[in-house]
Amino acid sequence: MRPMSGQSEEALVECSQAGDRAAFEELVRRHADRLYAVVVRFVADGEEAQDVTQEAFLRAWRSIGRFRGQSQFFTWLYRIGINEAKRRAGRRPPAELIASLDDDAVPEAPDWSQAPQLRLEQSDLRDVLERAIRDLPMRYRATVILRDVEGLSTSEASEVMELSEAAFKSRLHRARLAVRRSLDEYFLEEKQ
Amino acid sequence: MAATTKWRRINEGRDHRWAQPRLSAYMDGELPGRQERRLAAHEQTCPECAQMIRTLQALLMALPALRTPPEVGFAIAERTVERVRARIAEWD
Repeated sequence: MRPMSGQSEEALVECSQAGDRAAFEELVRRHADRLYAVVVRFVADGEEAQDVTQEAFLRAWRSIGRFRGQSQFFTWLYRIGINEAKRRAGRRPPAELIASLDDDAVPEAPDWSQAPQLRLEQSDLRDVLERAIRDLPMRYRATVILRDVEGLSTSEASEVMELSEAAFKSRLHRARLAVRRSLDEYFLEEKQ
Repeated sequence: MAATTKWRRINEGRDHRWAQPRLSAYMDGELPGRQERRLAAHEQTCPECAQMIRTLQALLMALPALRTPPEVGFAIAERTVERVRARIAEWD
């Protein structure tokens, strides 16, 4: 058992603030996979996501003395990671296709709520969902990733994004409608 | 009779417009009690919103399956620990 693995998050943060590298490594170990899973949907590929994850932790290490514990460590960390990912993504030319956020339903779309494909064993539907999320404008993308994929609460996710809960909920709803619209189109094509 | 039907349609239309932006909060259980009851009643009478709710619920059930599998996550975490450790060591 690693000596730090039984420590609480608060204790690890405190030790890290005192310069304890082993404590900080334990924080990295606890949060790297989830942070990677969030940023990978903003950048070009897994290698860049690994770089962004690493960079976010290095920034966190450099500024952990300023972390006051008013938010949870991971929400602070996610914010650093998402900002870094957005900064890098902003350097690339904009993607050709950005999902429409208009609320209109797809005409004649079937009710696919019971479709067996939703178990995601079929990789093409997984791809449709991944693409639908990636096609969202960036400020909408993080809402679905944090809340619906990673399972953060509304309060945690709005804190990461530095939004009021009301503004977060509004953005989340529009993002969900856009992803749902992609599935409408997918199942409509399947039907035809 | 015709007037009653007309008023019912107007109310249904008003309820529908009111319900649309609240569907996500409804599914997340984040609406205040009175609004939740109003939306639940609307769901019973509006096939369009009922289908929207069913499909959004199905979407919310599907999305967590996009999470990184634990074995992949473990490898990513260990690799990140090594890289971060090496970079911090360079600074000292």
